[in-house]
Amino acid sequence: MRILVVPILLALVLSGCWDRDELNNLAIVLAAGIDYADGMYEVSVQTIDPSQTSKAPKGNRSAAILYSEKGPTLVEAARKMTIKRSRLNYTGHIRLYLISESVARRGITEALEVGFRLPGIRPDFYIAVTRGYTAKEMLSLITPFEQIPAIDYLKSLVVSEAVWAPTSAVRALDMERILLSDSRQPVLTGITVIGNFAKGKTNINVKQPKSLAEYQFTGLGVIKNDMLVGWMNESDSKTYAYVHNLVKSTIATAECPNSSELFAIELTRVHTSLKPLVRGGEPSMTIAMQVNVNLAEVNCDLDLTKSESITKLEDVMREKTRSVMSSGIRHVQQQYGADIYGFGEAFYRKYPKLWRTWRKDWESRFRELPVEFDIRYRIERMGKNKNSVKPDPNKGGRTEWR
Amino acid sequence: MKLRSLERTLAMIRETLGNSEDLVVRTVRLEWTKPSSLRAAIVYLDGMVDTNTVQEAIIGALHRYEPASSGYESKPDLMKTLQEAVLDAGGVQTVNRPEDGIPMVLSGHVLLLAEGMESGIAIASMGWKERAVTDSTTQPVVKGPQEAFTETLRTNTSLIRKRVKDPGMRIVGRKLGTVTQIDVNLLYIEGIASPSIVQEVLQRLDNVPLRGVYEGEYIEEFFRANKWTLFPTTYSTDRPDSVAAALVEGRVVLCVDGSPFALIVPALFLDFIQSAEDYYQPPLYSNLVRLLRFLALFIATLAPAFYIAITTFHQDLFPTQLLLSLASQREGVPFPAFVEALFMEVTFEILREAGIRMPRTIGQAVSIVGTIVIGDAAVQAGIVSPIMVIVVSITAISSFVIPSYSMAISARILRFFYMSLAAAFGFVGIFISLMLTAIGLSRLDSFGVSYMSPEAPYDSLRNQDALFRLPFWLVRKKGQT
Repeated sequence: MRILVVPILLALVLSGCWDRDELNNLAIVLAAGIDYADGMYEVSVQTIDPSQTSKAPKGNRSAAILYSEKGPTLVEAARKMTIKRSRLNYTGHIRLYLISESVARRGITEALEVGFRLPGIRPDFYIAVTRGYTAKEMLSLITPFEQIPAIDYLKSLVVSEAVWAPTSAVRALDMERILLSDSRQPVLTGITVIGNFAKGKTNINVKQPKSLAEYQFTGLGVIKNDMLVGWMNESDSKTYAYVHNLVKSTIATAECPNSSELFAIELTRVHTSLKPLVRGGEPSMTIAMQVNVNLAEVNCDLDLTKSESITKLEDVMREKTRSVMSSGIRHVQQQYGADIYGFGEAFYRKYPKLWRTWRKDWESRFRELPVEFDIRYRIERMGKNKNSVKPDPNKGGRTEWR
Repeated sequence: MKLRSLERTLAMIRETLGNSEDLVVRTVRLEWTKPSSLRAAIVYLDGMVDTNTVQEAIIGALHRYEPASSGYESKPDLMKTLQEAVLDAGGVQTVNRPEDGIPMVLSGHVLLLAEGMESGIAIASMGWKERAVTDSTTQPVVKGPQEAFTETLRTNTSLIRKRVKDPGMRIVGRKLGTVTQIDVNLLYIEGIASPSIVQEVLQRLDNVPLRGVYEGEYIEEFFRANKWTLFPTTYSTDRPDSVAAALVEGRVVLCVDGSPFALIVPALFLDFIQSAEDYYQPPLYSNLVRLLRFLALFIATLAPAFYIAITTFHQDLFPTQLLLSLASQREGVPFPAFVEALFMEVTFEILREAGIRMPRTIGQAVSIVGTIVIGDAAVQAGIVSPIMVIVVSITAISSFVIPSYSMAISARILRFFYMSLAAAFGFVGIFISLMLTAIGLSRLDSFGVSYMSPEAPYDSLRNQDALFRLPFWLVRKKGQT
């Protein structure tokens, strides 16, 4: 035991404390943006200004600092930034990775390669594509809620993914797995700015209740063979989330069965499973969904105390769901032919031998794939009221006194 | 039997003790001896004896005695007669030569010598001033006995005897310290304590070469198997109920005259995390508090090390918000985290030592004001970051949760060791230092009993009360603690 003391003491002193980095020598990068211009990649990083995030910030400076630099490869551009700044980038906390649309249309894997490879970059960052603006511009926006824009985007993405079906957040780990798959194609969230962007870059943006420029997450972009080929609208984006069981909760609206008013339900639980089938040597897919909802907003003239009314509402929603899903999937099939739903993987799991014969031309089979739905819909709760408080024009008064 | 002149004996005693101011020699004439009255003398140290006893039970008894028969009292019988019939005092013993009586006088006995007699009588009549039995200063409990030991050995053993009335209780006496000749009592219960441990303790006691022994620590250092270990292997307490419980468990207790702290051997690691109060409160509560104590032990040793390791090597472990907050706090702080931590820890140790020695009246104010003001001022001056002050404060407070002061000392020393390894190697350093600690702990033993038992080696019987205590109605008979 005593023999160990000397080597330990020596090691303590001689090692020079390598890998040691004091906090005030790090530039903590929270978001990175990739653009492409003049044959070179332009990398922008948004880091924090620590003196502004403390409780008593001195001066009127922005809490986030944006740096960008150009280079033939991303990592070279990032390293080159040291010519302009006092600290080395610390990438251990990157949460968001923005790729501009032009880069995405050229090919996303080049932009993502270093994010997957470098060990210093944590593997759970979110990826998004900027529409209409470059990534650098996106990172320059002043956001109302959070001091640091990257955190604002991040939180919004996380929350929105949980409660709003059309938004899906794509993480690097998932992306990597999808890129390695035989048949499945990835999607990416889109983000854009609405409003007056020029003013949005300055402090004026947040000086009044309604910001002059706001960011917004839009629908999903379809990536086929490494390139962005098109954007899905809100309704179609839902299908992706449903098929992959990413929806925790969302709101859906439909017309009442006996009138043109609308009612809305809040999804509490949805489970989708893919059931691949082979008919006559050709693949066909049945999607089974189990949906449990609560009534959220009812403007219908129905007596909800009767179970037939509930059943009518369920029928309407089931049909609506079926039509949204089937039209969304059909759009993707016909317009893009990119298997973003993982149908190919489902067939591989169930029919591996057949899959080997289909692999080469999966895209054409995907376009032709017949998709059927088996949806079970259940309205569970009605909320605090039973019947709607909306007055019934026929009866000239309230339908229910309470 | 030589004839000895009383005068010469008394002169010899006076000279040996250097004509000490507090030596009292009182000659008495025994009228009732035949053929003629005999001169006798009592020798004692003023302040060490109970004057009432001397007056009534010794001098008075000597004067009042009326022999039953008017027969001749032959000299050899004199001592016996004096002991058995004359003296009214309690503990009497024969002293063969006057020289042997001198240590007895020094211990507070009264030495009775007679003209022409070689042997004398030593009468136990101690009566000195001592501190009253108050409550324990270092191990107070909320609910439970509040008595604590005092500096007098006999009082302490009596407090223990009050609680253990088994006839198997043995008290073995030794005198330690070549110059001090302090009484040391070894207590154990025969039939429960392991004889080999008793033997070993006695053997080690007899081999203490020191000149002065004033407190248990002097002896304790001879009991350590591994002289350089950080961890205490004997448990010191000033609570008689803890001692009684230890005796019933089969341990051996050493009481040193002049010190209110008794030493209990063997002492294992888990003893230092347990407190007497655990047994005086309901089991669910006690177990939760024990859990808290373990947590406090970890915090007290590892908190600064973790802070240093994470902020300098492993910043990716923090949640992002926390990292941002930390980064903003450390802006403008000139020193690396390790130096900061060291600085704050040393400051705190200084404050703590100063607080012990402060006079009671200013002590409280200074310790509170000192920590808060110094910490706050240092933060304002930009020398340390606020989070460092928090870490150090939590560490310090956690170290007070450990019931045993000796273990708290070890924790303090370990903390610095962990901090330095953490500063050099990050988590790897902490891991290595913990491994070394674990190895050190496993190799340690206290009197042959492995330090980490009953956890390592695992003894399920003894484990009923090790980490968590079972309610008393669940305790199996054999492992009764």
